[in-house]
Amino acid sequence: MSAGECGAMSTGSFGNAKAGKVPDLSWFRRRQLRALAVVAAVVLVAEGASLVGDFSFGYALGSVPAALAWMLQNFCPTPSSLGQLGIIATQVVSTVFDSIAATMLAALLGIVLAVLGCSSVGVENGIVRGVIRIFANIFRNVPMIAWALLLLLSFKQNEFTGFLALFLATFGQITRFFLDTLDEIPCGPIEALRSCGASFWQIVFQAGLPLAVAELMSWTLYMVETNIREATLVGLLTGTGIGFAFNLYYASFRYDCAGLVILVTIVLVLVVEAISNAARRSMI
Amino acid sequence: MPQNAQPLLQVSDLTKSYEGKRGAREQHHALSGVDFACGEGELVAVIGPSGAGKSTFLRCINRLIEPTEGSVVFNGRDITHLRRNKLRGVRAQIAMIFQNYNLVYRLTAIQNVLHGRLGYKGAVAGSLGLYSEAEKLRAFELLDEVGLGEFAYRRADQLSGGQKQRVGIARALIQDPRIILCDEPIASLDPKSSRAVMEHLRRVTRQHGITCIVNLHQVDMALEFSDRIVGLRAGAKVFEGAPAELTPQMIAVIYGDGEEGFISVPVSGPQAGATPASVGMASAVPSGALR
Repeated sequence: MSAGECGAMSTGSFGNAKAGKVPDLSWFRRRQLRALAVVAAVVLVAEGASLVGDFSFGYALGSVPAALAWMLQNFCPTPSSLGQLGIIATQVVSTVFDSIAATMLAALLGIVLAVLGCSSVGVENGIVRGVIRIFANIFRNVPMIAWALLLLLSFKQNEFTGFLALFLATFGQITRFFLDTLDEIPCGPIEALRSCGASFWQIVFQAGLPLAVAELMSWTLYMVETNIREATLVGLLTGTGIGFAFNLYYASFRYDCAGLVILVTIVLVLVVEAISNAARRSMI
Repeated sequence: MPQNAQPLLQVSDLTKSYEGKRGAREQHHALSGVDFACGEGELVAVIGPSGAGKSTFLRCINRLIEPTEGSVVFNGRDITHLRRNKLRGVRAQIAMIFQNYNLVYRLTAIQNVLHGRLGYKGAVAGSLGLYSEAEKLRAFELLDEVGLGEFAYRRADQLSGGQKQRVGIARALIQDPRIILCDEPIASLDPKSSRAVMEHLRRVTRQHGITCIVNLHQVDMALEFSDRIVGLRAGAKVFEGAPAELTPQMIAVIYGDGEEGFISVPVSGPQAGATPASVGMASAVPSGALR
């Protein structure tokens, strides 16, 4: 008598019970019809909405080529705009370093809070954990633009306002990312270190962080990338960095220079992404 | 075990109960009133079906789980209520190895072995992984002893299951423990690696005089390697004796509603209770007295 035989017997009786019935295949047909109905409904809703909103899809589509041509014509950097490259480059560098500094500071503080507040290696005090979670959630749910507008009133237009806005929004978000990452590390190695007599900080540094380091770095790099993009937007408001440069050229009808700013930003974001992807790969 | 001398480990009336689900009044007993003692250099196997309380039993000894009642006396000292640094000091002397090896898989084999020293180290030195030359040399020696000398700088996740468990054994040994608690150490290993691990454990008890308490699913391994066998069922001790005393009838008692000859594969699943064979079995075994 073996487990295998037992299993075979039970499967056999299962098969017999079903043998008399013809399987119902109409399910497949009904599924296809339902998918078709959903597509039809979406098209109908879109048509209806454009009728109500006086939006003509055909007209919009027709105006795309002309708009594209205008954009290419006006935003294409001209030789004269290249003279501004020095100024633009300075602003770009300041924006990049501002975002990196803000992200790193947020990451440093975030990891401390996440270590204390996570469920795997964190402190056993439930109140501390709850407070950290609530804190991170509140900070995270205030959008960066809101921070910038808020800080603008008290800190005026300067580099520090932009830095602070980036920092505060990143802080909440990255703490949350770190908490989730640390919550999910396997509990086995931590139990093993506890059984060896390891203390709280020993477990954090010898098991918690090594198990999570790749993901923690990955989130940090992601936030650096995001913040470089966000920093251009924040700069529009705080009057600093590349956002300010764009706004200045845009407002003074130097569209060719504004286009150059966009081009430089795109190149920059791509370069940063390539660097951080390489860093990620080397860390697996 | 020499009964006259003070035993190395004395567990009395060990009980662990969990509160029932909200609303339900009754408690669930993971362990109820287990008495156990062992001396130096013994290899004790603990057998029993899944959920019998084997893991809880081991974890109550080094207080990874807090017992609800009863006491644990280790080396003449009641450790049931030790806190913080005193508990760390005791845990340093009671090593543990696990079914899933529980290595920090992103670190190298040698780093994992050295983790066994953390209980003896200060917060800063331990956190930063600053070990003494003597500790590093000892770690290499132990890796050599388990046949992994050349894998010292290999990351733990690149080792095979059997190799990982041997790193686990080296990590336990570097603690200079009096006791090693082994929680299903071979449950995830193939037969050959299982045998190698059990042989290592037996050598540890014979050569170093370290006591091993081993939770096992494989009754044949328990019979072959242990000096003494403890049978747990539904949280209670239902058997204790030499391997020779473990009769097929006794195995049936320990594994309860299983079928004759169903030794190393404990039956599970809801339909097991309804098959005619096990109905016959249940009448043969005084199971009511065991629950």
